[in-house]
Amino acid sequence: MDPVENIRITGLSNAQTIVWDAGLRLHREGLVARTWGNISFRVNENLFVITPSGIAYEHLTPERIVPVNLRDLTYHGKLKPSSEKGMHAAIYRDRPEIKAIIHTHQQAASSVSAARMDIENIQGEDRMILGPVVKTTPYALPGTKKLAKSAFMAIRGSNATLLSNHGAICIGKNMAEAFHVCISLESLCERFVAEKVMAAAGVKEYAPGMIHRFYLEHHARGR
Amino acid sequence: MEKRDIRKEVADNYEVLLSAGVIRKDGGSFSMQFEGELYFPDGQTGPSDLYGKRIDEKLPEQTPAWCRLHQYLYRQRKDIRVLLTSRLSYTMTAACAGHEVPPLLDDFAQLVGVTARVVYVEPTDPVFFRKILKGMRRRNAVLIPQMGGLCAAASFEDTLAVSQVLEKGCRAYIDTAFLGGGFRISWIESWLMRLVFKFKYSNLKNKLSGS
Repeated sequence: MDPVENIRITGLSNAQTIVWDAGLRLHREGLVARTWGNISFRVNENLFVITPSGIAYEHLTPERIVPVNLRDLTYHGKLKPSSEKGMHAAIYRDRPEIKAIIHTHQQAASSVSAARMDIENIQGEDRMILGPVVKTTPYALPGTKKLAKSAFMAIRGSNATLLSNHGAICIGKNMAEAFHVCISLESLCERFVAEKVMAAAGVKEYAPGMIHRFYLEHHARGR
Repeated sequence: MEKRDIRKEVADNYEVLLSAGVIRKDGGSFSMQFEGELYFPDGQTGPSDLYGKRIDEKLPEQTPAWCRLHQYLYRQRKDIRVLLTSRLSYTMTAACAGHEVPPLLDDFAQLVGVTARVVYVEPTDPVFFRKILKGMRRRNAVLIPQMGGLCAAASFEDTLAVSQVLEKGCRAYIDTAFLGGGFRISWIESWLMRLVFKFKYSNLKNKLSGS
């Protein structure tokens, strides 16, 4: 039975509600704006649901969350699923324990992704939540197979990865866990940048606004 | 749409910008154009009431320079309906630093353009408006030192998004200066993404809003 054709599937509407609710929260927390980023949730071994393409989070309803076949990426309904569906499917296929995936364009993580740096040797609580390392994928255009492949390779052994010049992917065994990963990742990336700023400034404590002052003093045009 | 509704829409949108910190009561500018008429939020334009002035109409002598600039840009760029000057922190820092901000993030290339240029202007400069128009060529934003980021788009939501993505792009540019430098997306890929975004997603948006 094609799971996409037979839409009366156990847990489908619950999964759609979980994704819809997560979309609103993601928007509220400022981790995405407008229609950027996407969220998905695994329904069973053959099906996941994902946010549609081109609709702002505040205009979504649970019914508009699109069921997608995990194997061949066929989908049900009139709305097109996110163009990153292939990336979500690749991760679900590779990591059977994962039930929720959030792709954000969060700010600090985006900055680190633009530097194409890995964050290595993660310690303490961050290590428990994110894993020992957060890798950054090689650059690929959004929505391409190259991006999907590099994302699932980079996230192996971790719960988050940075997509070069694009954003982040956070995964979890449930939606709450995936959210927790997003928030921890943002905090880790903020501290990662702050440490580099402190090192450049030769200070031991990071004060709000320091980056702006230091940047203008040392990097402004004509300096 | 009734003019009273537009007035309310402008006031509501102005509140959204204030609460998001994009503009401040003492800094930043905002206007909307509707069917060739200009609309500014109450209290922003001084004593003269500019409500409903045509974009091709001569404005009163005491009109602030930024209002005249908005009128000029609406006249020259038929694709824009909303203008705002963002005072968000990284945008301000990038504008003051005076560097053209390259596309370090995909959404920046899509919404802002292949770069955000910096335009140095003095309000007394006779070609002040033309310089800004040139700085915004094929782009939806330009950085102006001491003023911030002038953002433009066809709707309020799109203009707000431009300001947010500009802020994120400026932040990435500044943050990566401390991380050994950012990797810019190639010129071709930036243009490609911008074109795809402009045509594919604007068509999708029209289709969805029509359905």
